[in-house]
Amino acid sequence: MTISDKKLEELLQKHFGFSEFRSGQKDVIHSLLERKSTLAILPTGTGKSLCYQLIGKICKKPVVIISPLISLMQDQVEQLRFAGEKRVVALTSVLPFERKKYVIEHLEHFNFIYLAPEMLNKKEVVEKLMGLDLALLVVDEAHCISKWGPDFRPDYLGLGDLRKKLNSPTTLALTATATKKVEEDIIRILFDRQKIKTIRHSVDRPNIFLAVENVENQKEKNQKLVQLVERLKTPGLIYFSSKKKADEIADLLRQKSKLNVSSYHAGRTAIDRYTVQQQFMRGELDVICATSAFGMGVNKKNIRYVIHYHLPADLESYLQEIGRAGRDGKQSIAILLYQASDVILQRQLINMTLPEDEMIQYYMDNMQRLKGHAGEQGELLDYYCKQGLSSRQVKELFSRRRDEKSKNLNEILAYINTAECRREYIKRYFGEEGSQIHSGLCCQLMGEKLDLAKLGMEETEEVTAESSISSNYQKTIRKLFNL
Amino acid sequence: MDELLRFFSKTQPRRPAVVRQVLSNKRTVSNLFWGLRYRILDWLAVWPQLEKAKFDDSITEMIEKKYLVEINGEGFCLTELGVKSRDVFLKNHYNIKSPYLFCRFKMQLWQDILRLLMQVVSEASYENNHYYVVASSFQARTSIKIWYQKYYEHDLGPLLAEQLFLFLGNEKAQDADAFMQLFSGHELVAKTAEQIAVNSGCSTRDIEFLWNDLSARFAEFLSEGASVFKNLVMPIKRTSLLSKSAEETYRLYKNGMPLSKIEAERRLKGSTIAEHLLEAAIFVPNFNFQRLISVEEARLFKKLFKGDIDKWRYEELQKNNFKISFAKFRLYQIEQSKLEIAEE
Ligand SMILES: [Zn+2]
Repeated sequence: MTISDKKLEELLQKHFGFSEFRSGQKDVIHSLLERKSTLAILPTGTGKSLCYQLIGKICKKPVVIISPLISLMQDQVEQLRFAGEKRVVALTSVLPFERKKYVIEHLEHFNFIYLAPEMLNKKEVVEKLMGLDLALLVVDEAHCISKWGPDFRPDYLGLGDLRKKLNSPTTLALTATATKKVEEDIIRILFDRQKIKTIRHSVDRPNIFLAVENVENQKEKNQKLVQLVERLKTPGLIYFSSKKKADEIADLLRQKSKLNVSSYHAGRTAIDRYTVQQQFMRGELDVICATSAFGMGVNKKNIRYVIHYHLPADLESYLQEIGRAGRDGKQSIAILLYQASDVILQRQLINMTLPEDEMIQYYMDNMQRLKGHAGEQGELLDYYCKQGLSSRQVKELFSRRRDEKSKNLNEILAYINTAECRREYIKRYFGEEGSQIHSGLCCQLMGEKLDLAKLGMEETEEVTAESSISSNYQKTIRKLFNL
Repeated sequence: MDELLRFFSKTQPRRPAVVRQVLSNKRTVSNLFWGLRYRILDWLAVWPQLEKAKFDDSITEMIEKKYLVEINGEGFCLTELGVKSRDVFLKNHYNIKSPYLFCRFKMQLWQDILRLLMQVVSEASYENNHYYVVASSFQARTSIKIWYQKYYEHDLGPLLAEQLFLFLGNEKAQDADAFMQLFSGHELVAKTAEQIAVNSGCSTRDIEFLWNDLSARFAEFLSEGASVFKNLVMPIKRTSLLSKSAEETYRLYKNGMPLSKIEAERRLKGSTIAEHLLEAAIFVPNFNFQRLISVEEARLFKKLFKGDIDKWRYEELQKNNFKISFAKFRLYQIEQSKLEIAEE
């Protein structure tokens, strides 16, 4: 099927209320309408999900989306419902038993079916899927299929087989960042080396200025952060790798500045997360102190800065996280606060998530007893044992992954310590061609002072504490119910 | 956590573990019995997410600060200093007025439903149906959906406002203000407990307690009224404080079935049936004790056990070679405790 650009824009307006496509979306949609399986590598913030949502609307057949994160799926479901789509469901382990049963039995009723990969281990789900005439199979966050990527999900390895069982429907693999190596993995495992179309849009976001600020110690880091937050245009986002630190710094910023600050992470209740996110969307919060749990599915256009308090795990996630800034195209900034001892913390994190040789041996020797009691590490080990790997092979595998993670860390450090243009470094890392011409609006070179005023990133208006709407309960009730 | 001081007494030694388990709703007959003895059963399940480690730490701290003192290994009593700190705390913090309501309703479900109700009615008042639904359980969404289909034609905004005005009119204005800030609606995002605490100068836990207390009492208020919202609350009201299994046993008992027959019918051991009946004896007003304790047994108990009920020991019966079960002894303790409380 081919549809003219003009017609596509009309459909976009009709179903989603947008008047124009963002970079990359149209290419992907055209490719899929020609029934070509497609790997789309589009930076965050380009509205990847809209591609398959529009296809579903046009083809009027069900779309199945495999997605690794429950929170992400729920956001997407909410967004589709918001756009008036009622027949949408997320089939995940958190659904109550009865509801799950109902959904599986009536899968054909839904136009958009979000699936957690572990659901594909259920025979009845796969059988039901085999009976559907799909418009499209979507694999979201497709880089999770690669053992070399930072977010490897063992469940994803089975997706190639699933695709065959479903008679190889037109498939869209989506990811924000993929190196050449990850791209090859996706094509090999998901598409069985078939020829598919790859659509790649640059990871570079020219309106985000790249900066790295070196500090000597924790105290200096906090001071620097407070200074930056007080001067920078809002709203802003600060990322942490620990929930506790996110809370602590949110407190500190509340005390030291007039800004409205809150924290967001998996340790807060669902209702608090909802509230904080809505406040941020509506401009009632100036700053969010978050872990990586925040951001997926948050589509706020005017985020002016993203600061990293801790080292990101790798360049891929760094780009994904800073990519939340400046979606309105206006000047924005990404600042990485770097303290040499952060590296130790990051190495500890790697060791915590990947078991050492002794642990592997111990687990494999005592598997029956330890099964289900060894946490995240145990689950991983369990998976490999089921694959029939020997303990020597498992050890090798983990040692390779440890090496890989160290390598990722070293890439981040190299980004921090590079003497050349940071943007150039990133483009080269992601295998993009064409060189970057460095300018004053591009990045902060090593040793340069960060000049916020020159970038136009300084808050010029006096910040006034939120004129909180009168909290008088009678007024609140009248406002709530339009009386 | 100075609020824990209120669960201790100046004269009666109390064991911290019982306090913790009553607050977090760990229901063993022993906990419930001692909860009854300590006069803290109204607080059952008031603090379900209370963590053992944190609780233990703060008990240790209160001992170090000399607020609590241990009495002959029987438990802890409040010192003069402890009483003072308790009173200061109670004066400066939110006081839960109706703790006993917390287990009369399925609280978590109700709170989800209440938030949804406010949002759904608010958005409907502005004829808007494009909005992000507040985080809530599937069960809560289903309850609201079913209810709404039945009542959407009513003018729900003014009706809900009326109920809120009636209910909150009897509360301190400051509490009512905080309560209403916890809801999201049309073009209005809630505040988190922490944000309200910062703005009003109290602690986050104060706001959490206020939220629990007022939402429970609002449920009670609606359930006793005759508004369209009554039907939303009734299904989540608990008719009994007994656990499901104990409830079933007690139903058979109340119908006059002999204990041996109840055991057979329920396929449970005699000791389990006895536990169920003890639970019923604690919670059910006008429990029929005479059916389980004979006149002679009662006479014997009366002769052997006098004074402080806390100090009665089952060993007393064994020492004198009376073949009476522990369950009967405990039952007598419960009966006498309830008489004692009725006289207070
Ligand atoms: Zn540059």
